[in-house]
Formats: sequence, structure tokens, C-alpha cells
Amino acid sequence: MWKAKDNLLLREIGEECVLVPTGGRVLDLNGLVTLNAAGRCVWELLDGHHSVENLADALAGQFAVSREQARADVEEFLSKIEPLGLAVRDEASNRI
Amino acid sequence: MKLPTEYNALVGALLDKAATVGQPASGVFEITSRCNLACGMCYIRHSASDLAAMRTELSAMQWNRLAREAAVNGMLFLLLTGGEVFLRPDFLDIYEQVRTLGLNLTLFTNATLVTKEIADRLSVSPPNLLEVTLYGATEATYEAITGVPGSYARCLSGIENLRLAGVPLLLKTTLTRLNIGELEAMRRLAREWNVPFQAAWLLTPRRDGKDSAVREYRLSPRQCVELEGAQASREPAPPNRTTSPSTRSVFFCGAGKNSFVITASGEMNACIDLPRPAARPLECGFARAWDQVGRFVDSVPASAVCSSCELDPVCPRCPALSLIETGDLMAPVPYLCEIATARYGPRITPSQCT
Repeated sequence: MWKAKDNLLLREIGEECVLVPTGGRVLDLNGLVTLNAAGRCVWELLDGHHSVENLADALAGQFAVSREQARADVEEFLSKIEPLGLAVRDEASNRI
Repeated sequence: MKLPTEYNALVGALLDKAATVGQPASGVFEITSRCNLACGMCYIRHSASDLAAMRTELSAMQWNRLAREAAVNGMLFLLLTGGEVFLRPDFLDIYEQVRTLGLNLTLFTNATLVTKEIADRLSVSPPNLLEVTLYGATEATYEAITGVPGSYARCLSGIENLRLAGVPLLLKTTLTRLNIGELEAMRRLAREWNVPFQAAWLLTPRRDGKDSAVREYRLSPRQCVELEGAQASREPAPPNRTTSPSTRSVFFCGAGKNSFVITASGEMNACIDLPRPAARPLECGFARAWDQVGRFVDSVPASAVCSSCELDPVCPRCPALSLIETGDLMAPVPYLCEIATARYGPRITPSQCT
């Protein structure tokens, strides 16, 4: 299960989506992270209750990509945002 | 279209996208028009004890209401500036509320009022960037500009407090005839403090039309262009008329397309230098005020003289600078004509001189 970190707000500018850190998180991530439509789809499900498989299902359901491609895309997305401290594997949720 | 990854380019691309849909993505709140310094070239310049100016200032509650409404309407970037924001005892109350809204937040200050306590409180929830203006690298030069004895030492102390608190800093200067000789020394100070440094030099007269000493302070057009050339290799180039089609109008920035200013008394305008259309968002609502700003910008005609000038593509003039310099939105500004001439070289003469 994956969970987005707290104190990150999803804002829209034009047709783009931007993650904006608030509070003390500014010191950890002083910048902007933009999400494309697929990234936004995955991001909005990072609530600690969705596995990589669930996320891939959602992505494949919303975009014209194969299940395999969707899984690869989800893994790539998570591998990019985890080092930035934007999301964590939520082991507690995993045990539930 | 793939977005750039370099920060400034990304912000520019996002603001261009906002302009295409008329989103007020970038705001400036002038929390106060008063300042504890008395720089002769300042375009606002109300004293700290100016009761008339103080009485017109919005309350903390009103600023926070405007910030919430602006965010709902699409504001993503916000600059809190003055005057000197820390003159207001309730500034941090305003700041801390605004900080929760998911904005990319910048503060401007002269740092002279930033105590350790203020710096520590800021550091709990710091701005994305805090920009400190330094007016010189020595006490004599700094205070020759600010007109306030002891202000240099207080500025250094404020900067130190901010550095120790870990607040993201940028040091900048406003270059004038008095401090141009200390540009390199100021740059060295920034390096010693390990903070980025920027210089600006396009000074404008007072926005309220009162007597201004700006002409005694501003650099010659030739000096301005030499500085542009020297800075080009260090820092981003100054704005010119190469913006995207989405923002192309007689305004070559995002004024009224993706950006707005709200003055200390609550008027919404197209930009800092342009006190028009003076919409009142607290009275008519943010969205309607923003619409007024957009309609004002769209209504400004091109300058017949300037648009036929061969120097127009390299000229820094815009309607705001025309208005603040001449009182006419479309009039050529001789000082800017000279800068354009110096930028282009002495090959042609500005059209108003022919």
C-alpha cells in the first residue's frame, strides 16, 4: 500500500496539476512537482488503501493502456516520487 | 507539451498556461505601503508613522479572506511585500494563515526588523523564498540610501537571524548611482553567506505622483545596458518582448492575464507600477475584481508612437511604465527610449525623436 505524505496540496494551473508543499515541508521540498493526467490519477489514490495492483487497475481503466503497461507506469511513477519524499509505502495499511 | 524541469522555466511555462485561460495564478499583496527606511528612490515611500496610510491598510482578517478567495480562484504564487511587511505587528498572523493555503510563497523585506524570534517563527513554516534587499556593502553607502542611522547593522543582524533559522534566502539589491560601486562587494557578501544574489536597476518614480528623487538615483541608460550584458552570463536576462502568444498584448508580462496586485488599501490592479483599475475585491468579490483587471488590460491600446518604433522589440517600455513616468499609458518614456537605443546600439533613433 502507498500513501501520499501529508501537507502536500494538489493545485491546478491551466490544465496542469502541481503539488505544492505547505508548512515545514517547504524545507524538504522547495519547488514544484507537476503531474500529468496519469500521475494525477495515481496520486489521488495514494491513500494507504491501494496496492500497486489496485493502482495499475485504476490507470488501465482510465487510460488506453494495457494492464502490463499500466503496472510498469505505476511502478515508475512511485519510484520517482518516493525519493522526493512525496509518498511512502504504508506498511501499517498493508497489515490490515 | 512537455513541461521544462528547470525551476524558473517551469514557473514561466505554468504561468503561460494560466494566461491562456485567464487564471489569476500569481498575486502580489502589498501588506503595507509604510516602511521604516526612507530610500529616496522608492516608488511607494510612506513613513512608518504615516497615520493616514496606516488607517487605509486592510486588517489581517481581510488579507486572509482575500488570500482564500484568490486561492479558490486559482492563485498558486503569492508575494507578500510592502513597504516593509514586518512593520505590521500582525504580519506573522497574516503569514501563518496564508501559509496553509497551498501557495508558493515569497516574502520581500529589508530584514532590519527581523529578530531571532521572528526568524524562528518563520522557520516553523518557512516561505519558499525570502528576498532581502541590501542597499550597500558598507554602513556609509547603505545608510546614505536608506537615510536611517543604524539600519545597516540591523539589516546584517536580520540576515544572520534568517540564515541561522534556515529560512530560504535570496539577497538582492537595487542599484543606484550611490551604491553601484559596491555591487561586487555586495555579491561577495552574498557568497560569504552562501545565498544567491540578484541586482535590479530599473527605478520608477513614486506611484502616487508625488515628487520623487528617482532621477537623481537612477543609473544612466548606458550603465543599465552594461549591467544587463554583465549579468546575462550570471542571471536570467531582463524581460523583453519575446513572451508567448498567450500573453502578447500591449503588456508584455502577465499583468491582468495571469497576475494581479492588491495594494495596502485593498485595490486590485494589473501590476505594482500601475494603479488601475483599482477594483475592490472585498466589496465586489475576487472573481469580479479579477475580471475588471482583465478588461482594463485588454482595453489599453497600443502606443501609436512606440509600436511604429524600430526599437520597440528591445524596449522595456510598457503601459505601466509610461503611466508612472509620464501620466499617459501610451506615451514614450525618454529614459526607456535611451535604454532601448543603448541595447540596440546607436544604429537607429527612437521614433519620437525623428
